[in-house]
Amino acid sequence: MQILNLTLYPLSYLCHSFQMAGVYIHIPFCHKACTYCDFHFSTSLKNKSAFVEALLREIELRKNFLDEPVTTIYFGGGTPSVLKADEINRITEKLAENFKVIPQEITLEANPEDLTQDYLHSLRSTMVNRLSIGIQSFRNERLQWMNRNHTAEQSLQAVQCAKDAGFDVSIDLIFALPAMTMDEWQQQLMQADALRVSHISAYSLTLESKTAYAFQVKKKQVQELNENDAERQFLAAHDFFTEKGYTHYEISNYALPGKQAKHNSSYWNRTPYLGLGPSAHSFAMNMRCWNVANNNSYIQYISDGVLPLSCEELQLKDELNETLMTALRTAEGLNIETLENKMPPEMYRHFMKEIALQEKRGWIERKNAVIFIPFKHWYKADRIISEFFITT
Amino acid sequence: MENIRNFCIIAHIDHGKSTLADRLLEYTNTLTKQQMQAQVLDDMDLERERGITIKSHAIQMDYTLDGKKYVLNLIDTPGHVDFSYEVSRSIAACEGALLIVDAAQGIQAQTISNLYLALEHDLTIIPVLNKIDLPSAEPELVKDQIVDLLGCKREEIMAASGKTGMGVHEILQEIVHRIPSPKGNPKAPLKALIFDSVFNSFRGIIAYFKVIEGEIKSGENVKFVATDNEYIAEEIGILKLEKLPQKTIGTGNVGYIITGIKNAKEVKVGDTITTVENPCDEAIAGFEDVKPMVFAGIYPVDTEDYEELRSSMEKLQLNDASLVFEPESSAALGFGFRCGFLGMLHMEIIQERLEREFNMTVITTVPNVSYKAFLTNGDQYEIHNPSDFPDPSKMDRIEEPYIKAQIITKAEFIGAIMTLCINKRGVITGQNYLTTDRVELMFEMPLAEIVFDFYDKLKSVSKGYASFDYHPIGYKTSDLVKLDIRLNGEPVDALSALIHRDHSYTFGKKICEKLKELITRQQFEIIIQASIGAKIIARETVKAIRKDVTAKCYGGDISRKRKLLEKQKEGKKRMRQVGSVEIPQQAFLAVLKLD
Ligand SMILES: Nc1nc2c(ncn2[C@@H]2O[C@H](COP(=O)(O)OP(=O)(O)OP(=O)(O)O)[C@@H](O)[C@H]2O)c(=O)[nH]1
Ligand code: SF4
Ligand SMILES: [Mg+2]
Repeated sequence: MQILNLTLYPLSYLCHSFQMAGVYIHIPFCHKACTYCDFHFSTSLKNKSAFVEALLREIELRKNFLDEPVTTIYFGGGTPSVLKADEINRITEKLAENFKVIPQEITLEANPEDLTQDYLHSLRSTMVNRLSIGIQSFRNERLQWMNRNHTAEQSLQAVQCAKDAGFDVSIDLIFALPAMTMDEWQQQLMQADALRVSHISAYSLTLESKTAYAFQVKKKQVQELNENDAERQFLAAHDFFTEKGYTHYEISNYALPGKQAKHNSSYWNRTPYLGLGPSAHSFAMNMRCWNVANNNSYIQYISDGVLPLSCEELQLKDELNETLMTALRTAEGLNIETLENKMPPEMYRHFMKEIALQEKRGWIERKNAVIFIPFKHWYKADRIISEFFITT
Repeated sequence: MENIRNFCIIAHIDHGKSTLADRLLEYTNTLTKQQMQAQVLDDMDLERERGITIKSHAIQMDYTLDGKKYVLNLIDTPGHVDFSYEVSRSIAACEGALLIVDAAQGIQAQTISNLYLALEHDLTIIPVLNKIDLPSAEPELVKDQIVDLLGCKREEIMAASGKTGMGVHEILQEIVHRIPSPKGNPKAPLKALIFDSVFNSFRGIIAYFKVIEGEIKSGENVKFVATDNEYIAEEIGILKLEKLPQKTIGTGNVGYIITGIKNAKEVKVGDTITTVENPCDEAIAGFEDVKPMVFAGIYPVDTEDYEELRSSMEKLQLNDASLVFEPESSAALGFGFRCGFLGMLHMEIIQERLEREFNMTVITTVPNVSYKAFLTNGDQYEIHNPSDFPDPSKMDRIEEPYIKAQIITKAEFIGAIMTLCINKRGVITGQNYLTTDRVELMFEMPLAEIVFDFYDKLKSVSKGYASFDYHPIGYKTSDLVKLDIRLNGEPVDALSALIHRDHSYTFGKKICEKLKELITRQQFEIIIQASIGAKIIARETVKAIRKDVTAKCYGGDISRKRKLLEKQKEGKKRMRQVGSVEIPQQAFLAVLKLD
């Protein structure tokens, strides 16, 4: 791997001509730290306005990063709903000044406690048309354990109001919580369905180091749910939501017809995206770059007119591996015809051999030129995908 | 011929053979300044990395004494017991030996055993007291020891330092004066002994020989007696740091021959080279067969590489005549080879050399010694593999090989060493004070207990002040059991071990723990069990890791995740799939890493 210092590269190096692009904006602030979370954020809001100024400046500094029109914008975090509507407007306006913005899907991640009537009303004046709401659980004792800042009632209300205000709504749920029974999960699924939102993300709780959860596990205060139950819950969600008319289009994501998340899909189908804000990742052509993951240094560097970026140039094999990895996590699968031109013949032969082997095992299936992992094996997708990886 | 001197340098490990060889090469101007480096004859990467000699290395020097020109053929030999076969073959190509003794450490176990090897071949011994520059050197004391051992005169011992170069001129002179020139009739038909060989992928097999009688000419038709194959001597020459082609090589001299043979089986170390036209009457006696001490299976990581592994092993065998192997198969690992080694270091080196020189990634299974099985129906056979262990209902008894161990140490470590030996099922048979402070201890113990980690343990309990030698004394009845390992209920034959019943429970528990540590968490839960027959004696579980799959996969995650999966895949190259479980290469040797 090569870490490049971007300052050595003319920005035009990163430009190319795709049809569209996405912008990801990382808002590194949260009201409280959730028990399980290892994302980059700060729980002190005192730097918020300095951060917004820096963000605006970064947009200017990176105006050459993308050539193609920006069709999706995603405010992620952290907790983007700490932003006021006018702050959001300033950001999107700045984007429009520096890029060609043709807004299709503008998502804001939001926590239920922030989604008051007033706030939602003010959001109507922004470009935001989609809200991704962190529900996580419909049980208060679970929310407490997670150190979330809202109750189940607030969640229900927030979703209802958001829908009423005309936003496309996605919700996040977490399964495989410690000692979660199948009953509890089934109840969660039913409550989620009752909300009739157009998009649902269901993640399993994962143990990340340096989180409160990891500490509790180490001190044996809680125990991770065993893998078999976790897998059963994963499959139960699949059966349940599929039955209710949702498409299980990616390992963790379900959508009603036509409501698949466009922005997230761009991560998976290699659309270029620009990541703004501390720790945000960008991807264009064959470069991945990421900003420094520290609010203060981010603000400092940007105000000095310097982009705190590290970059990695993807080799052909990295490129192929990423394509494999993201495509095989989706229901759509991977069109192998597109790979034949990209791969040297020897590699392609080897790849086809691997496909035949995995097909025999039943780990992948094939329809004409498209291979995909059947739902029942999605839970071990990582393992299956790594079998295809090209290593030399 | 009377101007040729053939000699080897022998000693206990680390007593300074290769370093003294450097000085001899330097003082005879055999190497240029640029070519010179420490232990220059240790030219294998493995030798340089580990700082030990693994292969004997022959090199020719020109030397002038009193206006007369001499040709000195030197062979530097390894000191470690596991490579003693290298020493014995080198000795067969020499008339004399420099017996090096470290002036600080004195006579050690391998000093004695290598000396006896040389005396068996009637070699003239020149004792050299080396490293006398060391502040801790005790020259007078060690001279006493040498006089005792050799029965030589005190003045015959040369004092030297391979480091400072002291005594090196004298040693060169004495080599000429004391070591006899080779005998042998130059007019007789050609008779040359192959004492080593190596595979070269461009030139084919290169054989090293010593001309016993007659002479060999470039371009002549030669015959290898044992294999009865005829070749043209495409190139012959002498061994400088590089090979130096010659027209002829005469009686008594050492050289190499290249005939373009590519098939490893056509060359046998110990074979005789003669000419087609005028063949010699009888072949040279050759070498005694090696008697391996430890056996283990070697399997390709990728089952498809079996044939390639075979050809690699045959080629490696050319350069390591102490390696023996025969095909075997395992339910878990497929086709591979049961190999015999002279010890654990030897086994490790073979595995390393297969990887480095032949690009073969292999799995080595749990090593064992060879046992004798006696059945109730009177049948009897040797067990080289745990899978040969007889059905207990048909078994009369098992006998295991015992050795007599001789340990020389300082008095203060006697207690610790005794405890160690008793834990290893040893029985003390003698104790002998060599000086007030140096003690010789004699034990009888099972060979199986010493081949694995005994030597390391001995070193650590004695802080390095113990030397160790052993020889087999036959077989004794023993209460052995076969311990099997099951992964997710499936027995993995390659992980089975034969072990004394008294040790089996602790061993079973430890090996399960070790395997748990080594088998990386996979997408499935893995249950590890140790069993004797149907009885499970230990159990561990390796939890699965799959939740990660459904963690949030956001923009920044893609390269992180890619790298994670890449690592998984990389790791897998060294893993072997057994049923649904992937076992890393090291797990097969986990037994060795238990304490
Ligand atoms: N002080 C001192 N150190 C020496 C002398 N000769 C060798 N050494 C050191 O002793 C160590 C072993 O030297 P080698 O020449 O590799 O010993 P060896 O006998 O060839 O070892 P093996 O081939 O592995 O048996 C090295 O660290 C040398 O530097 C000497 O005359 N004086
Ligand atoms: S889960 Fe979301 S709200 Fe909770 S700490 Fe992490 S980023 Fe903040
Ligand atoms: Mg040496």
